[in-house]
Amino acid sequence: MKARVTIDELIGDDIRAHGVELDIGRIIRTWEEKPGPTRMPGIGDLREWDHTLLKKYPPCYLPFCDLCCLCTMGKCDLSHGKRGACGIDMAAQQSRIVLLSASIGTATHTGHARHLLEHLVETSGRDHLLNIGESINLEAPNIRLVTGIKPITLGDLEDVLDYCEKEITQLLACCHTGQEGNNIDFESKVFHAGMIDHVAMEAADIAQISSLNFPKGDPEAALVDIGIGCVNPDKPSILVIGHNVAPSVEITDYMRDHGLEDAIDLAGICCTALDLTRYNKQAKIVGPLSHQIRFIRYGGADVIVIDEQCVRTDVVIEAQKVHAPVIATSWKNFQGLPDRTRDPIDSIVGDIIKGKSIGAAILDPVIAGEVAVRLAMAMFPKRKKFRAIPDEATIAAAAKACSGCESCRRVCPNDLPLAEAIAAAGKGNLSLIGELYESCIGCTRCEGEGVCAKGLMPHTMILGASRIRMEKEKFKIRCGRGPIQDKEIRAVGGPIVMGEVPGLLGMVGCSNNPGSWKDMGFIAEEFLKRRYIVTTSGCAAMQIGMYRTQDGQGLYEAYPGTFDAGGLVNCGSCVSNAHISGAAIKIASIFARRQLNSNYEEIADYVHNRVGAVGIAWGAMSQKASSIAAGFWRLGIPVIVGPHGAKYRRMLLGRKDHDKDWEVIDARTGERVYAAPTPEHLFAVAETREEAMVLIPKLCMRPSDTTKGRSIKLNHYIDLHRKFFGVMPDDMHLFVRTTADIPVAMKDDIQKALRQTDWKEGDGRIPDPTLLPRLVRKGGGTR
Amino acid sequence: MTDDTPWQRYEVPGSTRAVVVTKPAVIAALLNKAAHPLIAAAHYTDIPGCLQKNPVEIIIQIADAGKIPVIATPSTAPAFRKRGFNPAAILSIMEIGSRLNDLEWNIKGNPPHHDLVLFIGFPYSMGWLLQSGLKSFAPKSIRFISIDQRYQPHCTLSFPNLSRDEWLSHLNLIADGVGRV
Repeated sequence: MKARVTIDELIGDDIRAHGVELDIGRIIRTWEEKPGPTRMPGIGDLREWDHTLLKKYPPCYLPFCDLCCLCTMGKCDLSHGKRGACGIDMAAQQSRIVLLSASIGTATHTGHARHLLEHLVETSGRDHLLNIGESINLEAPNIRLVTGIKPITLGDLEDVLDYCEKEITQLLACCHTGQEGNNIDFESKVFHAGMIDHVAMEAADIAQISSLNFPKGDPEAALVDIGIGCVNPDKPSILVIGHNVAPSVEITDYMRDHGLEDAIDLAGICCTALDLTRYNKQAKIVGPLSHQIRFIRYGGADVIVIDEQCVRTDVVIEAQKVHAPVIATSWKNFQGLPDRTRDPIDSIVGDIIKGKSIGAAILDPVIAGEVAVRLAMAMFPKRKKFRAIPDEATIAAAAKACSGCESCRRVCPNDLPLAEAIAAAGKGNLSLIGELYESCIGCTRCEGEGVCAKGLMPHTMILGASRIRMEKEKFKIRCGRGPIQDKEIRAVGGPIVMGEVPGLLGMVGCSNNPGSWKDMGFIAEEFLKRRYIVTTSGCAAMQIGMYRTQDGQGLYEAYPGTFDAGGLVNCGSCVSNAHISGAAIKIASIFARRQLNSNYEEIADYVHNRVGAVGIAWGAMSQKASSIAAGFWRLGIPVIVGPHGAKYRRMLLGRKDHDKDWEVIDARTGERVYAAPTPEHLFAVAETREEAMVLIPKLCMRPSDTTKGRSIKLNHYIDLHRKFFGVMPDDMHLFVRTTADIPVAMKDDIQKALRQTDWKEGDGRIPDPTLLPRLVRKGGGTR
Repeated sequence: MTDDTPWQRYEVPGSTRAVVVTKPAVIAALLNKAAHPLIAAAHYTDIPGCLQKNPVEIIIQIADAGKIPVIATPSTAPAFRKRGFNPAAILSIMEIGSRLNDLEWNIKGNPPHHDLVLFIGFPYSMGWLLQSGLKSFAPKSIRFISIDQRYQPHCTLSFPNLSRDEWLSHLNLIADGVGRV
């Protein structure tokens, strides 16, 4: 909150003044909790905590490039231990790139939050009260924890974003030549970027929930349609792509105001779609970001409205192939279109319909909303759902030209056997190429200039062979419910901390999958059956929706949306990820009653040692995914990524063979005690889906697990290991503290296996675990 | 003509690149000469339904003949166990990287570090990244050799891009040469 005070006359002992104006940059309201040690921490303020984590989980680097190309002294070769012209080494350079990535991600969420907030302040007013649900008193756990602000109005969020923007500027400055030179200090800054990211995401989501009346922590939020086949080909349609929901809201409002809700299909791709369905239950979700080109070429959109983030940068070119105009609504993403925000609407619409223009940039969401609707109505009869997808006969004829050189495969990120499938198509068998539909991430690198000497278009062929599949692609997804209710936290906080709810899984991220998009659904189903709490958001939430159980049910139909064991909780879009980290923070605050206000280190210490949470971003692709992950790392929550995630350039891996790394302090006595590798890693890549599924229960183990809790977690770890790898895990003995930890059903087998190791029964004391000496209660420690 | 370009065309190496090995006997000789060799196998080592000798069987033959320990990734280990062979350790791909970067680490628990590591069955980009890391962070005394079907530029030595048949034949030739000092 900011204020300006005008004083007509000021008279004091040493002062006499007229017409004094005082600008107060920030007024922080006091609230029931006193502030802790780190209100609005700067880059160095949590360094000690970061270094503690990084000692336990040292970086393992995977350079994507041997060279540094950032300044004009270079290029510099940093391989084999060399240093660059500025003195930087490979480790620091890799960390610097990770920091750049995380800073870009954080800036993007913060920029999005600022853009959205400015719009909402304009439409609802700065004093608009934040309301994210009557049963949610702790409305902003990340914001309260980091900034010490308890936001009450939209205007309060401006202060929050001021802080985020300042920190991002400083983080970016650290990437300049001749700044930081130590890799561990770079990593600490990565964590800082991640923490800021979750603050900004939270600000964005609670602003839109409050102002646009999105579901407010509702476990029974509506089930909505998802899939290409859900979009009615017999109606005009508008496709929205991106992340900022403001234009989609205005499109919806214009349609409602003009009685066109049933006349036009409004559909979306990526997070804009998820947020749109939180506002408009009739809207459809086409799919994750990998569905962009396939839906555009499918011809389903009569007009395409883009906002920001993860929009194909060739969207205008693709749209022209199917004669669909493009409306750009954000100055972050003009796409070369002329800015017509101030032109008369009739003139914009007229020019596009007459073909004088291929689209327009319209930066006012209200105007963009009207233009999109009027264009859809006008373009529908002209376009007649024109497609850029060949029929089967055309594919088979073209495929005969394939020489089998495999150039297409060698540029495919997933190394898909395209040449083999095209050769089969040339012989009239289109099943192989059609089967690639779910594994293809839709990047179209295989169609790049000069890739195929014969000019074949493999991605287009995949789509042509999948037309019927696309028409039948119809699923249900629960629209984003937003935050977790306080009462849900009260109910499951204990069982999570004790380990009796085996884990809290955050399935997040993009659609850059190494295999089928159905893998996310497969993983989710397994853990839902095992009564983990599965939270999700963004493109991951969509992929989980586009999966059916063996009984033909969708997962959102089969499992409740409650934050409880066996619940499938779709929080919403990318910015709703803050509710997943927020849930972990709420457990520390609401269940354990730890001080929240500006008390990051203690809360993170609590979460790391007690809350069995794991993030899985199987198809993570973006810089935003890296900053989201970094926010979880600083809270000590492990994240697993799929094979492409190795391209983030470094892992944070524990060493289970180093006993000393796994000591915690028992806060009751101050003693250092061995607590096993729990959790073993902070950031890990899994080679296969099955490997990820075995890693999840293992990374849910925590030093604070009760014997019952550890037994339940071990049961899942061992059972999944047996299921996928045929035998019991060879490190099981590290996690069995006493015989009481052993799952009853596996007792004989486990005891037999333990006898073959050097396992010794522990004394059964479960520590009150902490990594912070100041939290030791005996001998003057404080909490 | 030998194809020694990265299989994934855009995964371009840096200033140095692996020497291409077209004669498998060279690798067999290096294995015979190494004091502490190691084999790291990931899940593409196993080719279900392979009409010829499965690469897993060839690796077991090499390991037995040369008394070479094998680290298998969790997804790979079942294919070894199914054939009655217990890998010396089960570690994920990234854990393999983390251990090999550590001068104090040996699969048997104590130094000396391994002096030669053979990689097989790695998903291309994961192998590429792992080996890129090892190139800069592992002890300089270790030779890293890729015997995958596709050329891996960040190793010390690598097979070129090979057809399936050529690859299996190369693996068999290594097996034939190992243990014959």
